[in-house]
Amino acid sequence: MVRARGLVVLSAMVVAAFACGGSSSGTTAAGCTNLNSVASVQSSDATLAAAVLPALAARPSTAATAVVKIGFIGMLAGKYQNYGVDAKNGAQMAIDKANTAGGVTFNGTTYTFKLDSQDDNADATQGVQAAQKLVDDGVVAVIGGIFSTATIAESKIFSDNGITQISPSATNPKYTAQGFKTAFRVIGNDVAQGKADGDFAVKTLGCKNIAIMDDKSTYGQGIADQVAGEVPTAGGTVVDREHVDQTASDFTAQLTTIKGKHPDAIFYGGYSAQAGPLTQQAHKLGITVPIVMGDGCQDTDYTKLAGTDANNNFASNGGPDHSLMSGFAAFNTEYKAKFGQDVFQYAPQAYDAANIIINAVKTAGGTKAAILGAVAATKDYAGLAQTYTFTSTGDIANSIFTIYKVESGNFKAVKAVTSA
Amino acid sequence: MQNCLNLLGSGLTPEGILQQLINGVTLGSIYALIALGYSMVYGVLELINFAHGDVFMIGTFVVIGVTDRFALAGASLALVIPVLLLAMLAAMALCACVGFAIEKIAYRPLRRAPRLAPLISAIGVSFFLEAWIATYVSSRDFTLPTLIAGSIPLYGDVSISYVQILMLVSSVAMMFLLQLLVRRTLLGRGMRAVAQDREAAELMGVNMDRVISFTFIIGSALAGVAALLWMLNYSTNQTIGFIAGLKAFTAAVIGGIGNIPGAMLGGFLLGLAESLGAAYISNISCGIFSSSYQNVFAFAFLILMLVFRPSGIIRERVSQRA
Repeated sequence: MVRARGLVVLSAMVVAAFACGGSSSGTTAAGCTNLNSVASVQSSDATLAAAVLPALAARPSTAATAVVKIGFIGMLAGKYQNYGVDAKNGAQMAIDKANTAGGVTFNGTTYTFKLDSQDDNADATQGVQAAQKLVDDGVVAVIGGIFSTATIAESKIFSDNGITQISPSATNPKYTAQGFKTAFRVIGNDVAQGKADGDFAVKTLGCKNIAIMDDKSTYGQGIADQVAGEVPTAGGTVVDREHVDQTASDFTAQLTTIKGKHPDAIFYGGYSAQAGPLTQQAHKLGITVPIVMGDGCQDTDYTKLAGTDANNNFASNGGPDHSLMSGFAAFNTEYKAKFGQDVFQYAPQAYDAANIIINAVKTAGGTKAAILGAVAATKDYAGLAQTYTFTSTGDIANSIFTIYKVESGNFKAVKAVTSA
Repeated sequence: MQNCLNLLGSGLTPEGILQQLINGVTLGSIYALIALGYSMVYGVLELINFAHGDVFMIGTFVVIGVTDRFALAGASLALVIPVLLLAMLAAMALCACVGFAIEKIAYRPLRRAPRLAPLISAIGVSFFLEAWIATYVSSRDFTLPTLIAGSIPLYGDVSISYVQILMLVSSVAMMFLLQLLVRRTLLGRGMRAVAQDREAAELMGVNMDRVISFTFIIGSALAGVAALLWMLNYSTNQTIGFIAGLKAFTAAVIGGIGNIPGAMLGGFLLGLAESLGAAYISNISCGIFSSSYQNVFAFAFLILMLVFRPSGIIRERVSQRA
């Protein structure tokens, strides 16, 4: 029964698709978007889909317009929603701009874009579900995830479905080291960032004895491991290695151990929600050495949570400082007019990622395979944040990191590091 | 592996241990205050109030809400102390209201229901409170600025901060007051009577509903005090109640659920286990376990206690009902 009913629905939709492809007036746009719903019906009955697909592919190629669904995946509500919402807004801006400009045209078809956002709660399990939802929705490329743990889990789903994934912010090396052809990022990875941070602490700050802490998250421990590897290379010594639980509020036990080792600086790999109170607790214990952190702490949450204790600590971030991006002022003005707030963090990278995808559609068309090929071939693409060339692994060839120092409660860029 | 049994280099020195003991006892004093709420409710109802951790969480948000109205960062103690007292009273009052409401909504209608029913309704309340805060207040993290700075040096590198002293003194004082209330007042006598035998107490003229309501109110007000002390050192968000509640529940079970000194003792022991565990496990286990296993110690302690001494360290001395 189900099969029979599915057949009826499918034939009706195939007819609709032909009807839609046959005419070229603007009013058919709504009919064309139904192609996506055809796709989701197909997935419920694979054999039927196989029978019908050639018919769909063979339809007259006079269709003038098509809507390309681009997915966004990231934490949109909860503890770290700032990052997710900000990146989503950046992607939305690129898409709105492309649509306002009338879309892009390849081979006689004009493509417009639609953003499909899913919340992964920065969690691997929910990330897989959200990624599957995007696949079911029929997206052809995805921007996200935002956090490494979720992004790595999601990348398998996108790889299995041949969907290009560009993360604006996931810095864990594992993401592009799994051999997935579909995994890209527009930010330097933690190998490069850890090197930059370790070098900075030892060479620029002149701190020889470094204590390293992390929150055991994929991101936090990942970057801390890289720093631990780089410190001896740079001529310093790792005097202590401590870990905290991601649900912990009390860090005094670990900090007390660190205090006993008398380090010149502390590196913390983790996120600002814990780094803020950790900094306060360190000061309460009389630890006054600078704390160096990665990009997970370089945000206003850190300065707000740590209060005056934040001053004189350092955090690095991927990409050049907002102030070093030539088009940033105009971007921020437009962003603020649209979303009612300033750019938080990775909106420029998400904007660039979306534009790389849009550009790929422009040069190769709107299918998954065409986008994947064109994105992989991205070379010297001048984005808002920097110029991008993808390496064979999906990383960027020249990753830029900026080291910030907190002064009077604000992050101030003190050093830009470019590493290969 | 390089850390293996390098005990002296690991901070396992008299000074290090002493400092970790101080840290552990102060952390434990907060667990103890929250644990009192679990223990008291268990005492009269023989049920665990799983929403109690979230009452504490509400308290931390009240503290943030009150202190946010004043420019406290860098303010003098003449402003800080009255504001903190105000925040504590507000947190106690609001927590008491929430506790009262929980009893009215989630427990009283289920007084004669099977024991599982009120347990589940309390878990429901817990989810509701978390979701409510996340939706209508904030799902972000909050801290207080460092309000009471400074510490007293004790011996070598070892020191105890004023905040730690405040935590210890307040929690011990609260426990003392609670003991007075339970041992010396009419209400306390009612509580003890209900704890011993609910039906018999009712027959003797004890207003059981009133006693149970007050038990929730007092336990929740203590969670309000704990909330203020917590915020002096730690951060909060809407999920904080779950872990804090679980830890306090563990403390209550370790000490012997249902009795007040037991909850206090359990809290201190748990704080010590966590601090010492986090500080030294990596060295003792040759790097197999890391200092992030703090929570593991807490709950391993709970399991050991349940297996070997289920009635807790201080056995509740109520004779079993015949």
